[in-house]
Amino acid sequence: MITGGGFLQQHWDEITSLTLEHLWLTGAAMLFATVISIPLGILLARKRAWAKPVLGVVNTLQTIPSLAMFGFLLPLPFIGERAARIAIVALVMYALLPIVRNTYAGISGVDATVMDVAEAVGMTSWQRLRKVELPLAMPFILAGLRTATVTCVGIATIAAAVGAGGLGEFIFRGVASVDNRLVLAGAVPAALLALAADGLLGLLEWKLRVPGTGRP
Amino acid sequence: MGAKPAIEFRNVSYRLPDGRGLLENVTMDVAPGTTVALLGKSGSGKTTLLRVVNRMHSISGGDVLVRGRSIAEQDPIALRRSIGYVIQETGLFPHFTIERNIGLVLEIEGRSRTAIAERARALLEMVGLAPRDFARRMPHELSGGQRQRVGLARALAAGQDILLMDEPFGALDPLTRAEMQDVLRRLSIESQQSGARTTVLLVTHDLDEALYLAERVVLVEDGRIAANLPAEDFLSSTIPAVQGYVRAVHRGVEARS
Repeated sequence: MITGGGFLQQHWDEITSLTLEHLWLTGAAMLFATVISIPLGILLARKRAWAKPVLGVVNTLQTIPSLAMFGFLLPLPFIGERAARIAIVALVMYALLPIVRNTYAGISGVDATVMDVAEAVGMTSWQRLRKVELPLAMPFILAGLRTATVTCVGIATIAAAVGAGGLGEFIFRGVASVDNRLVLAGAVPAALLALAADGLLGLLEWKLRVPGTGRP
Repeated sequence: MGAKPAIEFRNVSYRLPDGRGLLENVTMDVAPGTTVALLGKSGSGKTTLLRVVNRMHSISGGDVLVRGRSIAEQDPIALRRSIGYVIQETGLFPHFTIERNIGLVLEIEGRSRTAIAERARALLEMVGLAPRDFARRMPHELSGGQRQRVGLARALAAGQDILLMDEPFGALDPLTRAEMQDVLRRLSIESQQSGARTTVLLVTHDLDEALYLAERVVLVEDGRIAANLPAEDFLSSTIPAVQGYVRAVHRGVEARS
């Protein structure tokens, strides 16, 4: 790896731009997934009868192999027209389960006595959600976001297979040209991104935990 | 008393969706400024009777009047905010400081932060907890008795003149319970003297607590009122249900005398 310095210098701009592209794909997917999943999790906690079928569907999405998922999205109108769209929609599909499941579990797990009091003192249902349920479920929701983010960072590397860019670009190119340095130029930043996301969200989760509830 | 009752139950029935009746034709008045104890064994319907008052249960028949108005005509949110609620497990919010827990009703009514803090501190004093030590603590840092004091303070924070208490001291050891009963009795005497006339409906299975705190004792059995007596007449009552209850809870004394 004596030539490593030269390689880095030569590829630095590309590493930066592909890392940014990777971040953009993951970030956009997480944004959509969060906006869909948290309200859905809350809704399922209200309508418990729907929880099982909906979680079942979301769980099935999760089991589809990622390359197959990209394949399914490819022929679709609008989504299939741009590689980035395919990648983002696929990532959203994978991010749904951990967020929906944890939001649902976090909210339905709030102490029944606390919820009874919240109603009996005259809180509106919006106040109960905002002041009691969401804060008490927050560590769970964040744990779900964390799992989803790490999953998305990982799967986003495969998005390069449909031409969506990101750090997978290096990996695929490196494999094709049997150049380990290229593979590592994609793999190392991707792994670092995943570790950083995991660490940051874990820290936030720890900060927002509620002591004395017997819950994480 | 002369004044209209604080709470009136008129032929109140409550049935579960499966048809099981938990309350049958309950009729009784609770005079303003008095404490009425609802006594009875588990499953007798005393908690249900308490919870129809703030519309936590919707009655199936009859009517309940609070401050002279049918609760069916009152907005449940406003009604609940005007009635203090204290339960055995306190139900303090684990993520709120003690001060914020006490000021809960004021907060949801949108009062200012300083007004809430001021009121919370005054109430902490009233229930015998030093504001400087307790205002900023979290519920899990308090003992059971201290938490129950906070629960009581919360129920009084918005100047509620009706309190619903569901076995408020049931989970406490006997000495702490006696201490809390004294706190409640002192508050009730203070409120009488200040002319606030706080009305308390107290669910308990502790005969001694009922006699100590209440002016009237109501014995609930199978969703019906078996007796409704002034506290001083309860022990000497000839009503069989009352005699049965008194005998059942005073067995220890009787066995040794």
